[in-house]
Amino acid sequence: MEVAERIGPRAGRPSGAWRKWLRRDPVAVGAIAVLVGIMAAAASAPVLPLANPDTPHFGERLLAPFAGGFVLGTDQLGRDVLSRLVWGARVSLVVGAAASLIASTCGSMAGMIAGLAGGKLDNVLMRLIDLMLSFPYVILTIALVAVLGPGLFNAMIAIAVANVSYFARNIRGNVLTLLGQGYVEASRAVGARTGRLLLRHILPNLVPPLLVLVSMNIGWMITETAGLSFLGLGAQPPQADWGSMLGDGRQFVTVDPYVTLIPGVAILLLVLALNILGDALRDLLDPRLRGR
Amino acid sequence: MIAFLVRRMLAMLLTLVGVSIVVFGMLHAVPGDPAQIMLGPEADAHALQALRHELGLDQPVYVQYVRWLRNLLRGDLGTSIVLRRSVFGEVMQRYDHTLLLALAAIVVSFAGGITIGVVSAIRRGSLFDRTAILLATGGLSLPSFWFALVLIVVFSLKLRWLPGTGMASAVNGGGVVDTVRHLVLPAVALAVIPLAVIARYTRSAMLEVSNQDYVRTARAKGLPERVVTVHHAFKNTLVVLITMLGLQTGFLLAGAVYIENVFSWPGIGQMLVNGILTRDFPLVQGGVLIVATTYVVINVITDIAYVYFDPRVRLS
Repeated sequence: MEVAERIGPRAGRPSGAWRKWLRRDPVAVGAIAVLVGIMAAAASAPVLPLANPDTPHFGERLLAPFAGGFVLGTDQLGRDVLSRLVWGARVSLVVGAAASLIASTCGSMAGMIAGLAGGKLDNVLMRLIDLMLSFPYVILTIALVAVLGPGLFNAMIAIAVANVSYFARNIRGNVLTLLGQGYVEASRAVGARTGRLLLRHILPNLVPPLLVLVSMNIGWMITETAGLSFLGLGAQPPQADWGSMLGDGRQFVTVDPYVTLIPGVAILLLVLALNILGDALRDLLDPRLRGR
Repeated sequence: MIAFLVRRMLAMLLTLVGVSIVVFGMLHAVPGDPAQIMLGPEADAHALQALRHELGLDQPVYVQYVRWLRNLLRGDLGTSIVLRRSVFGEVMQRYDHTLLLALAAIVVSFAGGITIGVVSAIRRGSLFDRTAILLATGGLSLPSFWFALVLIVVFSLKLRWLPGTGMASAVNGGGVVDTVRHLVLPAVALAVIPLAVIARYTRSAMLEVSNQDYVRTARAKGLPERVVTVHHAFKNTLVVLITMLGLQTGFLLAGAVYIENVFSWPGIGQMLVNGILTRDFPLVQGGVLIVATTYVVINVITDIAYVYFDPRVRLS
């Protein structure tokens, strides 16, 4: 038992690797800065000196940035775009993170159960996953929203469910690889039970691939949430996320392109930062895929 | 090869049965009474009962499924609640429009993606290569619905080069030139993300192939660089590209949901969103079914093409 445990690799790396990585990859550092900036603004929205995001100023509709004292201008109802952007960030971030959490938790559980149990259970679970994958991703989300009905909460659930298959498949693959490793076999040979194998060898070694999977996927989920809100299937007024700001401003694109330009750039920046970070994290934790 | 084809066809049939069960089940997974949701809270009891009967909701589930499937095979997908006309007719009419858009986007994304990917790989590390990689990462993060709006603002509203909505002009519309003019912006908007993906894959596949012995041998024989690139390197990346074709077609069909709504393109995607907003379930079911079926069939074709074009797989 002792030997088997000592030769098993430990999850994570010494902190020196992180520091070296940051120095080598300035783009990733920029991405972190953007991400931290957006999260800090979203978190401190109630204490920032912002106008009320829902108060209309009917005399000052569709102002361009910096006009009339509104830094990013006003929207079609004369509401402060900067304030709506900051408050909307809270919605977009929370919904994206929650969908990601639900999808990764459920997907990993299904993947682990399938990988560890094997046999019939594995077969049934994988056929179900295959069935989900026989629908294009956006169509599956749309079908789920159709069933649940439009709304931000339902959109989040739909996006989470549509992404379960992605996590389940990948985690199952990782579990099967780990089960074939020498140190797992050794541990099993000296009498370790499934529970101990799971806690000691499987779970810790699933953390890095799971982190990579989440970071590669969360940008998609945020775009998808914004997309559903844009179509009117997500956030319903008066609640607004970046997607619905974009969708509402769309009719006024001829008069004032900024109302749609600004939330769009915000989504692009956030998702780009997340994707760059995802790539960097993958390179760091999964060197086999580096430069792909 | 024959055995493989038969096996693959059987698997496809099974998948399609699974898809049909999921689509059929959509109506039954609705929390609450589907008839009530479709007709709204003010509907009278009589109308509700009539709709339940029309949808077959007053019968056991398996009877409903068999009936639904039998009608489906006859080309009957029920009647749209809002439009009061055959769902099958509506779906088929719009399906052509979506296929046209998807096909145009496939051409744009593959032509652009392969060119950029190959040039990037040949000039690895050059300014072009580095810019292309950066743009590809940006392209992957681009919300397509927003990019579509930007295209409309720039090319339709400001420059007035191309129309930004619909499929045909109101006056003298409908000709080939008119349709193509309407097609350009939506096709580009739909193609941008697949283009980025394909450029990245082509580049990495080209780089991988360039390290193979046969490429080195070809160079050592003194063949011109152009011949080596096209005949030895690029030809061998085609297998990867075929796989991409299947994957990206699914993406394009689904991505059309956003693009069609921005450009008011009268396709399946626009119909799906309208159907969800008006809670017209038969219409949504029809749309989901046709897109999923197309996706399954295209994946089978991709699989077969993959085996056919890769002698290593074909002969083993």
